[in-house]
Amino acid sequence: MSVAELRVPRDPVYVGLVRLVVAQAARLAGVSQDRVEDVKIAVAEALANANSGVEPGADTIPIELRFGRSAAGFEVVVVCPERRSDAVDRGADPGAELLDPKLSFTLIEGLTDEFSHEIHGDLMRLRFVVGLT
Amino acid sequence: MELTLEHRTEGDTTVLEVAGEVDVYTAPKLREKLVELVSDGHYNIIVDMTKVDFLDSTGLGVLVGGLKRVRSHNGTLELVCNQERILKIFRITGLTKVFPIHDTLEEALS
Repeated sequence: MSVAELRVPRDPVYVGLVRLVVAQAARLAGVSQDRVEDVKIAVAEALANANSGVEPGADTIPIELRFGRSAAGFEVVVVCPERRSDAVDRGADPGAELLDPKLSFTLIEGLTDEFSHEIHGDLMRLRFVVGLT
Repeated sequence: MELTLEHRTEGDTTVLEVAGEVDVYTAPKLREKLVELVSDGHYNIIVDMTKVDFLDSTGLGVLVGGLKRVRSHNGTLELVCNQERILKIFRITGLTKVFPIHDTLEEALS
């Protein structure tokens, strides 16, 4: 996998920027324009999940993205701290009620060719692949 | 791109024109607008999405929330959307069965 890496703060303001960067990388990797639109939505979903459960103003670990062409296609991996259910329960995360993780994962699954969601300790890892043809 | 929201009244229906990108950053603005409209007594709403360039599940969640709000007042929330890439999102999530979706505003108003 020829990989680009990006690290961004857990702040929704960066989601549009990341979408554009990853979309351009997908184009360069040979993803068709129709599928680039799928990549943009899948990235937005991954980052919406990554930004969920964050207490406003808290010092948090950034979101890490790795993306590029692999044997499977155009691959994106997003690693971030696991959603904090206590922040959601206390109503400390005003964005939490916007996100339905089930709906979000359904969308990523429907738009991509491979999708996985894993929890490793305190970290959540989302990976998806979009084919190049 | 920014999200712009404009509403007008057509008979007993309120048309909310949404333009730009609806994502986790901008969706709260759409939610606030829908809450405001329902609070002001607008219970029959058509959301015109023909100028929406991008929509993700947070936008879908806001629309579902809006639908719940108007239904609690026996109202309706219908959509106008003719862009295949946006319609695809509604199809994948099964929301084409939840929202009446029209090709044109004229069709929605008729």
